[in-house]
Amino acid sequence: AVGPARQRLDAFATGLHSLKGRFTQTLTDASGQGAKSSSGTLALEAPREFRWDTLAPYKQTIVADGSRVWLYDPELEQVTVRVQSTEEAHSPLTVITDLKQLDRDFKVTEQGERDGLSWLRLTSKARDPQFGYADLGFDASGLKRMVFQDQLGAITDIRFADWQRNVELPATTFNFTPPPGADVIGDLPVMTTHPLKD
Amino acid sequence: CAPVPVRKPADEAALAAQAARERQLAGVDRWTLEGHLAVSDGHDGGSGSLRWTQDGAHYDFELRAPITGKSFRLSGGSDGALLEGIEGGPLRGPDAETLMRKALGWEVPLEDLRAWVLGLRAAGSPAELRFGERQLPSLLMQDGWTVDYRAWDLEHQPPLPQKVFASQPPYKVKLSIDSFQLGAGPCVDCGR
Repeated sequence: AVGPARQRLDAFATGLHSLKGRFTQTLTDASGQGAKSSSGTLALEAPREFRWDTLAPYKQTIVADGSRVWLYDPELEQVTVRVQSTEEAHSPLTVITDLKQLDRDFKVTEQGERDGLSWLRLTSKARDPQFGYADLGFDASGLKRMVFQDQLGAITDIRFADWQRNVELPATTFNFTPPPGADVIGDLPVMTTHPLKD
Repeated sequence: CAPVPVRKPADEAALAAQAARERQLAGVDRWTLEGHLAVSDGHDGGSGSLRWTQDGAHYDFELRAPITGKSFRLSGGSDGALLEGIEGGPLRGPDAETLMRKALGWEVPLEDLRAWVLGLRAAGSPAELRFGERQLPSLLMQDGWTVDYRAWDLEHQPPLPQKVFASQPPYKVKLSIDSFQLGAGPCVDCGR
């Protein structure tokens, strides 16, 4: 029989092709102190596009356009581009819009009730995942929290709010153009070069 | 348009102010910096949130790349350096700079940066200064690097840098500092 958390995941994710909402994130390091929090907005669209705008206390934009992930730090005037490798494309958040992909990439186990939510653990089947597992917490309305641990033992705890399901997202949401003056480094798309008119 | 940075030559008054700042901060050999770091060589590099703790010669330098969760910790002291969190497991090396160059392909003058992030000249080699408002450094040239102080936290006494852009073409190391905790070490190398 399907467990309570899985039922809530299925209800939330079935028929979902785009999602928009807000997040607050807390990062606590392995020793459990020095919690740093940040907040902002996020958007997802099947199959692999997502956008993550941290607004406070620090501005930072991450856009995954399906083939590349663009990380823009306005304070540092730098854009770091990475090919959207399968791991990033199939992070627990992006597969929320594709349950078949989720079951291919993750082993899903019920974790019971905690903090008023029912929890599901997604353990990555990938050879060298960014994080071993991610715990998703659901209430009756759907996904409320995501908790995962990175290689240095720091715990990221993300709380979601104001989900808007299957809203029409403007096309520009998932494409990113580096602003003038920023250093752009990493896996750049091959630019069509124009002859310099001097 | 962006304000034109002030780069006044080092006159007597400014140099005296800098010397006073350096005296005030000389006793500080334990601090923790929280902020963001971006490294580039024009083609590749990386960026993420940074926590850097310095305790005498011992350092703990933790960078966390968001979403991808790729993080690494570089720690060590005068007896060598350890790099953890990267693919393939922990790596040891003679010093942090060599390890970052070999394992990450990053050129980061960590030894000099220790002074530069406090707005100080690193010891042991000549440095040239240009000054901006309030007799605070706006440019520091040392060991082939040009350190551009874009912003200062004026509430701190003495003021501390908030945005430090160091470059030695084609390399760039850029830091935006959210917080600094300074502590004068009760003893320098407490039996370490």
